[in-house]
Amino acid sequence: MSPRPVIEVRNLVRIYESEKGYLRKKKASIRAIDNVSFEVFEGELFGLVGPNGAGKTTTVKVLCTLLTPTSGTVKILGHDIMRHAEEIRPRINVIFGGERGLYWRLSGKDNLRYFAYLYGVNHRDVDSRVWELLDLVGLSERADEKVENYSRGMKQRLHIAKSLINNPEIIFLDEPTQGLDPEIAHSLRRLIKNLTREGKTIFLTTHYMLEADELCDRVAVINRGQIAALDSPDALKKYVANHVIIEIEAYGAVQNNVKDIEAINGVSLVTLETMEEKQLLKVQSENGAIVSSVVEKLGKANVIDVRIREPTLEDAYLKLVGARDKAL
Amino acid sequence: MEMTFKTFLARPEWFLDNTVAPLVFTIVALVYFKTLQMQNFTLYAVFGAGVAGMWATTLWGSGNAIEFERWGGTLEYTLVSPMRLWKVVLGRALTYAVLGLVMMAEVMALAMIIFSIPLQIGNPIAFLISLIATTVSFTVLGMLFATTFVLSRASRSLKNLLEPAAFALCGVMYPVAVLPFWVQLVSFSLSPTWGMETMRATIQQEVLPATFSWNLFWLMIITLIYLAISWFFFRVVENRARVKGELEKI
Repeated sequence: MSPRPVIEVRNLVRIYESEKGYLRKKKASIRAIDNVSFEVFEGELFGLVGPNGAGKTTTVKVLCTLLTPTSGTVKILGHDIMRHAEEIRPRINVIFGGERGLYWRLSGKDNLRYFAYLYGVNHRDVDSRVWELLDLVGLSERADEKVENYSRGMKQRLHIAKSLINNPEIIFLDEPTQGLDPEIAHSLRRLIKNLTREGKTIFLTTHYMLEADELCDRVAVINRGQIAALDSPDALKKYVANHVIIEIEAYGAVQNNVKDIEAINGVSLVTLETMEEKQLLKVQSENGAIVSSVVEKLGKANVIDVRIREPTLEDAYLKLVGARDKAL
Repeated sequence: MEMTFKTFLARPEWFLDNTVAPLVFTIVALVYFKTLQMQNFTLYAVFGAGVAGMWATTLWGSGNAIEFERWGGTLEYTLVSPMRLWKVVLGRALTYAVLGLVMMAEVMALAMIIFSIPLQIGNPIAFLISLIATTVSFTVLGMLFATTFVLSRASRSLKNLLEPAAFALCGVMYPVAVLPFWVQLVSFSLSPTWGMETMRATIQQEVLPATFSWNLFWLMIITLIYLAISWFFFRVVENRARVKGELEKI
């Protein structure tokens, strides 16, 4: 039996109206989601990845009934979000990311108790449910402490506990590991992975490709409000399967070098990242033998390291996003 | 209500705003009225200051609570929960209305202990009824204002404007009859006016049942009208919040 879709998105468009200017105000519109369609299946961990401003958070807000679509249809657990939001809300939960969204002057336990009331958890079950979740996220010993004294990682774990308060069928996680140190992000990812073992459907947005690769069954790449690709992480990697990645660390590499390298035959994508005083140049190419040509194009830049490696999901993502940006 | 109360207690600055600051205002009012050697001192100075405290606390509570939710990023979480927004705001407004009653008790205690004013209430039961009705009315009015606070980022300015405006229009410290006729029309469309009138009717030595009933009737009618408007506004606000999507902007 094929799994049933629990999230069905058809031709979703969301436009934000805003105003420009002070005295003479002009209306402006931003197309945050542009004709997006996809399905998420029961028990799936679905990732939505994309750069900042790509439309990830807007998509989550529409799916969790916080925003109305400008056009298109969205069904959650078979219910239309426009007409049956009140049927959907008790069966889903959401984390919007960041440290906000908690009552900092209340204890972690009281935060969970409050959200238990909001989600209509039976009064007799509230305390047992709260302690169960505090145990799950490892906050039992700090349960009575005010949230303002929690570290960022603890706040994120409390968010996870909060998102489980109503035992939801679908959880929307909007960049849950953003700003966390690697160790805490890793433990949070393990926690998220465990949730799918309980049969929960998870809709995760992130711009960490490693996270998407590690966690997700399928990944949609969104850029400028449109889906650029949707497939399993392994299938997405095939977009760059016949490529090698040449990574060059250098001092003094500039944007003009990027243009020169892009002109080399066989180069499909070049990105330049600044790491404190030095730069990291990533070159996607079908041909690893072009290394000397690339180094030559760097001219006066001081090359300190050259590596050739196999492509990852991040490289596939960069190709998808970069190719789309070039086309635009 | 429990969580709202805990949040209130956890914030010393809120406690100062709502318990100590109104007391300072009350002391000034009591000294001023006492200097005037006026009759009906209890009627206007003591209960006027008490109702002013109740009003300030309720308005502050409903307005600030929503603004606080917006700052803390919890408003979005409230709106995506199955709990309807009006129920959440009702809990907040009711908590602050009850705190407003504490404020009223503080003022009465201050008048009796510091200023040695004997507080005589003509009909204590009628007074209690009018106090409860006024508290309910303030709660509903707080909910009505809260709807504007959800969508408007100018809520603090609006609250600051409404607080003294209500003191002036609702005859908190003087009879509404001294106001120009056209202002009185506005005054009698506001429930704090009827709340004050109802309470004053019960404090006087000879409580006239007809006056009390008439004031109480209008207090309830206006409260019901506010309730209907706020229920409608909550639906509009929830829809607009979903359409505009600007809740996270602070």
